[in-house]
Amino acid sequence: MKRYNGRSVVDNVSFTVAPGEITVLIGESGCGKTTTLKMINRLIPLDAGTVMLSGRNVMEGDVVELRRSVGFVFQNYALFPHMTVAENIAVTPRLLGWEADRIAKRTAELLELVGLAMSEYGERAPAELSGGQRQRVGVARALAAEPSLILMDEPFGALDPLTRDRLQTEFLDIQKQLGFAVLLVTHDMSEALAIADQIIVLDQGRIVQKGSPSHLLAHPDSDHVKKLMSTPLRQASRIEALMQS
Amino acid sequence: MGPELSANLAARWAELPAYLSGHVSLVAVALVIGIAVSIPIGIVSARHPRLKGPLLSFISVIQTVPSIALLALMVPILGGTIGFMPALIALTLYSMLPIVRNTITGLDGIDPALTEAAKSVGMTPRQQLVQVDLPIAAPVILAGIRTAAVWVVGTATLSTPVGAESLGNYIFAGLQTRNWTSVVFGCVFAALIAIFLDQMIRIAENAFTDRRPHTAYGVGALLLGVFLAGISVSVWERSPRTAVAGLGSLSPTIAVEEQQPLTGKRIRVGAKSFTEQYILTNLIERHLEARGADVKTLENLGSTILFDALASEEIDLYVDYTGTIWATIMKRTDVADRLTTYIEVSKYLMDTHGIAVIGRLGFENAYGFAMRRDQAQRLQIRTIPDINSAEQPLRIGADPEFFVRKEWTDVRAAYGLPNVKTRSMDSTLMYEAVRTGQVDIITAYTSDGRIAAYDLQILEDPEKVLPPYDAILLMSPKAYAVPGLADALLPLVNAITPDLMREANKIVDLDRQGTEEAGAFLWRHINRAAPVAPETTE
Repeated sequence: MKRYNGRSVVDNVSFTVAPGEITVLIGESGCGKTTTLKMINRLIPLDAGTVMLSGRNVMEGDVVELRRSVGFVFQNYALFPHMTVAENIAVTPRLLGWEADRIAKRTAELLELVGLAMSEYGERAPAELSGGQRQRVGVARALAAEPSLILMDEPFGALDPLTRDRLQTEFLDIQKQLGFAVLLVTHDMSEALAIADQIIVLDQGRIVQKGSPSHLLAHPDSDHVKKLMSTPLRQASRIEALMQS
Repeated sequence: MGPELSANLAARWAELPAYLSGHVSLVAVALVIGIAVSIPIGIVSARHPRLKGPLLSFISVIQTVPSIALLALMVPILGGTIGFMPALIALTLYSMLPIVRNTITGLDGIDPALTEAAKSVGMTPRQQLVQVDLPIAAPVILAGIRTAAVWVVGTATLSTPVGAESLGNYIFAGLQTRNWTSVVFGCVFAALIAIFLDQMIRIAENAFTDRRPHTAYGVGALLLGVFLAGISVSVWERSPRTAVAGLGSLSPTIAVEEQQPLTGKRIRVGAKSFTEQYILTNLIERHLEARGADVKTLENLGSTILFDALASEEIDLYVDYTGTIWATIMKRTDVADRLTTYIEVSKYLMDTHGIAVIGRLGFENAYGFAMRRDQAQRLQIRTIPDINSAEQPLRIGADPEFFVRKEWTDVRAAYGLPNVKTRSMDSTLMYEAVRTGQVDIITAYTSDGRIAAYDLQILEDPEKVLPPYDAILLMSPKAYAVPGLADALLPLVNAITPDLMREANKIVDLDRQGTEEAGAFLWRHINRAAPVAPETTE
C-alpha cells in the first residue's frame, strides 16, 4: 500500500509475476501503475504490505543488492550522458565487481543482442543515438547483470509507431530466448495485448481485473475493462473491414 | 630608453620572483581550500533545501563586505597576525560564493530520471554522487571555480596592506611613489595569471563536456605543478639566507663597527604606505644589514595594522609619528608641546604594550600651513594669525579630510581666520596648486620634498595649536630584548634633520628616482656626518 497525504494511491494490489512470463500493468494516467512498479525495487517505499522476490521479502534485504538484481527500463531511457554506450551497459556489472574481461564480453554480447554492433556504437555518447537506439541500450543495461526480473516503465511509449513495433517484436524474441520475467507498465492496450502473458488492469490504485489477454478480451467483467478493450477492438475491426473491401 | 627607466625596470624585474610566487601561492592555497570547503557545502545544501537559503545568504553577505575591509578585518580577528594567514582566510571566504552557488545549481539541474536511474542500477548514495551527480554537474561547478579564480587573483592584489607579499606590492608602492612602471607590472602580471587560470579551467570545462577526462586531468596536473612551483619559490624567497644578499653588497665601502652582534639575526621591519616610510625602511635595512642582520621588510601595511603587528610581535620595528600614536592609540584630544608629547607617548607605549621608543629621528611630519615664500614676504605673513591681516581673503587648499579634522577646528578657535576660502583637493595635487597660484596656502606635510623644491614657507604656529608629529622608532618587546639591536639603531636617532628628510622625499616624489636611491642618499649622509650628537631638548 502507498499513501500520499493520507490518500491511498495504491491499495490492496496483489499479484504474482511468474518466472519467464511477461506481466503488463495497465491503466489510465494516475491509476498507480508506475508507483506499483517502483515499489518493487524500492524507488518508492511501501507504507504497508509486502513484495516477495524469489521467496524473499524485498523490504528486509539490502536495497542496493536488490536493485542490482532487478533490471529497470525507463520511458525516457535515462542513460547516463557522461558515459559511453558501453559504459552505460557495464554499470551494474562494474558495481558488482565483475572482472574486466567478463564485463567486456557481456557488454559486446548484449549490444549484439539488441542489434547494435559493439565496434560501431560501443564508444558513442548516448546523445549521438536515435530514440530507438537509446532504448535498445536501455534494455541492454537492464539485462547486463543477468537479472531474473526486468521492470519496464512505458519502455516503448516515447518511440514512433514503426520503431515501437520493431522493438516490441525484438524484445519478445530476446525475452523468449533468455527466459527472464518482465513486469511492464503501459497505458496502451494494443501493446499489452501484443506482448503480455498476463494483464493486470488497475484503476484508482486497485486491481479491476487480471488474466490472460484472451480471457480479458472474451470476458471483461466490468464496464471499465470493456471500455479499455474497445479501442484496440474497434481499430482491429476497422482494419479488417478495409482489407475486405 | 633612458638609464633611469631601465634601472627602474631592472629593479621591478628583480622583485618579480618574490611577488609573483607570493601571489601564486596565496591564490593557489586559497582556491584549493575554497574548493575543498565549498563543494561539500554545496553538496550538503543541495540535499537539504532548508539549509540552502540561510547558507547562501550568509556567503552572499561575506561577498558584500568590500574585499579590502574583509582583508583588514582578518588581522584583529587573528589577534594581530599579519602576513599570509589573514590574506589567505579572507581570500578563501571570498572564493566560496561562486563555487557553492554553482555546485548547488549544477546538482539541482540534474534530471530526476537520472537520479532514479542511478539508484535503479544499484548505486549506493556515495557511488551515485561520485559516478553520476558530480560528473554531470562538473561543467557548472568548474564555471563557478573559474569565476572564483579570477576574483581571487584580483582580490589578492589587495593583500599588501595586511602584510602578505603579492603583486599588489607593485601596485601599492607604485601608486604611492608615482612609479607607473611598478603599477603596470603589478596589473599586467595579475592579469596574466587571471587569463591563464581562466583559460586552463575553461579547457577543463570543455574537456568534461566533451567527455575527454584525460585532458581535464592533464590541465589539473599542470595547474598543480604551477601552484607547487609558486609555493616552493615563495618558501625559498622567504627562507633566511646566510649569504649576504641584495643591499648588503650595495654598500661595501662602509666600514662597520668593531663587532657584529646581529650577524644572521632576522629582523622584520614594517612600513606604512607612503614615500617617506619606504625610504626610512630602506635606510634601516641598509643600516642593520651593514651590521650583519638579515632584514625582511614588510611595506605598505595599513597604519593601525602596523601598530597591531608590532604589539603582537609580528614585526620587530617600524617608524611611527608621535601625533598619530597620541590621537589614534592613546585617544588623546588635547595638544601638548613636542617634547611632552614625545615623553608621554614613550611612557604610554612602554607601560601599556611593552613597546620601546628608541628615539626621535630628528624631523616631524606634521600638518603645516605652507605658502610660497615670495608671496608670504610680499603680504608680510609669517605666522598663522598673520593670515587675518591680509587685505584680500586668502584661499586654503587641503585634503578633504583636513577640514573636518580637529586640527582645523582648533586652528579656527585659536586664530579665527574668518576671511579664508577653503578648497578641498587630493593631497598630491595641492603642492602643484600652491606653486601655480591656484590657492595661496596649503596644509602641507612638513617633511614633504616639495616644500623645499617649490620654495614654500611654513607659517609659524605661536599658540602651538597643531599637534607635533615627531618621527619615532618603535620596537616590539621581543626585539627590544635582542642583545645589541637597540644599540645598533642608536646612530639613527636625531640623525635626520627636516631638510635632509625633505631632500630624500624629493628624490622620489620629484626627481622620479627609486626609494632605494633615496635610502642610499640618507645612508651616505648619516655615515658621513659627525658622531651622533647627544639628544637635544627644546
